[in-house]
Amino acid sequence: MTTEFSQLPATPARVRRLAQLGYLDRQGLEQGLRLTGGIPNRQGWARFLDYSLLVLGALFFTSGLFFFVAYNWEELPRFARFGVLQAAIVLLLIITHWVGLNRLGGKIALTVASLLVGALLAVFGQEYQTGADAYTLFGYWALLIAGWVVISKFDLLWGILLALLNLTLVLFWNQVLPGDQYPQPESLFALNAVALIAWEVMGWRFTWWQHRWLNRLTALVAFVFALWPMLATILSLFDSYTELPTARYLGALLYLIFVAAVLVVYSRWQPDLLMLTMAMFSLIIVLTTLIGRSMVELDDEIGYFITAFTVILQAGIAVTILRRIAQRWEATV
Amino acid sequence: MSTTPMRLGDLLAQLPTRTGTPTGEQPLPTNLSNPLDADSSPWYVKGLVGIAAWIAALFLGTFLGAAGLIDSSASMLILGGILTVAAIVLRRLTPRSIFWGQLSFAVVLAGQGLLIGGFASQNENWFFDSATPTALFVIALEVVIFLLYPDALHRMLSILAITGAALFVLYEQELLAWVHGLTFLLAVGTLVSWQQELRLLASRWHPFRAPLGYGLALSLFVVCLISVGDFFFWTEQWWISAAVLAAALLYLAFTLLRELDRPLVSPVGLWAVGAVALLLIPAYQTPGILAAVIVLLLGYWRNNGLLMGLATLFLLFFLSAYYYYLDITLLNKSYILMGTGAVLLLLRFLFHRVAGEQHGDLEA
Repeated sequence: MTTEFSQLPATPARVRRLAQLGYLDRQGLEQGLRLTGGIPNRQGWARFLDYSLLVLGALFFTSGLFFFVAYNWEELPRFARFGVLQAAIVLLLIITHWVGLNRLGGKIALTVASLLVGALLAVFGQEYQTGADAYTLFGYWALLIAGWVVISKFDLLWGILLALLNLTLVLFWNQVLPGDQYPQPESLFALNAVALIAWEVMGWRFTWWQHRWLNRLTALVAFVFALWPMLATILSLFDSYTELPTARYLGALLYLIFVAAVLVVYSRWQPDLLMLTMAMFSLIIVLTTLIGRSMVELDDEIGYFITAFTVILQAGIAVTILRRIAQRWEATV
Repeated sequence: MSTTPMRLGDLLAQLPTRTGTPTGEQPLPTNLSNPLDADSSPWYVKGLVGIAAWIAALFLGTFLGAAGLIDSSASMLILGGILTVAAIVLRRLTPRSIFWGQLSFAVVLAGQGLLIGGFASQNENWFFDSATPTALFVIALEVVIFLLYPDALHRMLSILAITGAALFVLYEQELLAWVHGLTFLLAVGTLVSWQQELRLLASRWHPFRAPLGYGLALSLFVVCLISVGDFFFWTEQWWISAAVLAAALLYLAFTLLRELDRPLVSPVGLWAVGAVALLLIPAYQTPGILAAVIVLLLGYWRNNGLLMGLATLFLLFFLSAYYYYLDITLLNKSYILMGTGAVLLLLRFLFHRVAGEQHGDLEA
């Protein structure tokens, strides 16, 4: 349902657009941005500097500790190697408890502690040379921090957990089933698709899940792993080359279901134009591969022209649809 | 306390407009976004347009080559010229058509590719003899296309191409020290374009706002990339660029303090000078750190998430590069990294003291 223009919420983006359309002059634009929070005030700047220094400080300190562990300093006794990391983890947990998980400081402290668990496992591997597979380190790391992640109220830490699980799965497949084989991309796609569903449910359920960057990044990774079997299937349809990829019908089916789901969910229930753009772009890749590969079979230079033209046509259609959706949302929320 | 957000109607009633009459007496615009208006598209939709145009241009160029239409430098120049002019005319005749816009984008890319290729291939050993004339040709061509081809994304690409070609000329002509002059120009350009963003946005020059702002900022990063690890063995004197960027950062800091009604000589002002001085330590070798901090501050000032995201990525890259190329042991690097972390946390502590902020304001 279309909302009357004057009743739309005043956002910085809308104020900027009004100026772009020639409706506001410079003073009006500046005043409008100040009233809608589009120009930061003193408190805004203080928070920004505070966050930046905290995040950068924590990042430097953590990477310093990782370098320290990586140096594998022989003069440092075994007890001290474990002690340094364990003491740091305990200290960070005390800070987390003291500051609380409702503040960024507490969340960052818990995140650094979670990262140091990995460093501790690495030292364990150095000291005892267990001969364990590489994927077990990341798997145990993910398992050990899972409890902290659940209570963290921090999307970054959830993202780190997902990255560790992806890494575990990639290393596991590399070890047990090397090469581009079923079900490597399919399983990685499934992991990220499930995570995406989880992020959306949490975003809907919890107020602390404020940002959408992790949802979008996860969707991008899921698209990459879904496209892989889909493109392999398309290329396997043509038999003029000996180096044929194997057809991956399950993966291709998963890709089609995923694209359809993304288009429906993010155009109807959870408006997100970036997700729709990703879906459209993946469709352009699939269709262009299909058309381009068919044209190669023709073995005629006109094939290049037709492929170029179809890319332009597809992009034109995609952009038209995306802009119409954006306009519809602009008039309603 | 009510948390109802302000409505556009209420906001507009409080603001001056171009005509100077109260907004309430003026008809409001019918809508804010138009599906035929590229300016209202977010960056990722523009990105899709750009990538698709590049792919189409590559296929188009391959077609022209395979069809035997570009078998000499003269044919490349003629065909490139025709395609470029045709694309500019097409875009200007159909400014609101998505399909023709997409087609003209692909054609202008293919056209200038042929023009540059044709110009370069006039000399058989162009790369080994002298690529300077070609680089100068690229600069001239991109300036013309920047002015005549009305597309924000292409204009941004033109600025990047001009910067790349200028670097090539400096390299080949052994004018290595002039790279610091380029840093200066790009730093000033980036600062001015974002400082004057609101003025540009509300003027008839608003189509140049985004390409100038993003193009100059990205070009500044490109120039700073050369300093990383002495990859190109250009010059050792990166401290000159660092000094230029430190001056630009100080200017920006004082501009922001003035806007926030903070006196220049105050605890916060001194804190800002101290922070810039501290940044000079790593920036001495890697001026990109300062460039990224400048762009990050500009991004926050202008409430621009995309600019902040780009600056953050480059900041992490430049910082990593600095520590990676430090010629010391891993153990000493670890001490320096932990020390830097501790100093940053100390700066945060000092900032809390001088800014008088309460912890309660800083909740996530």
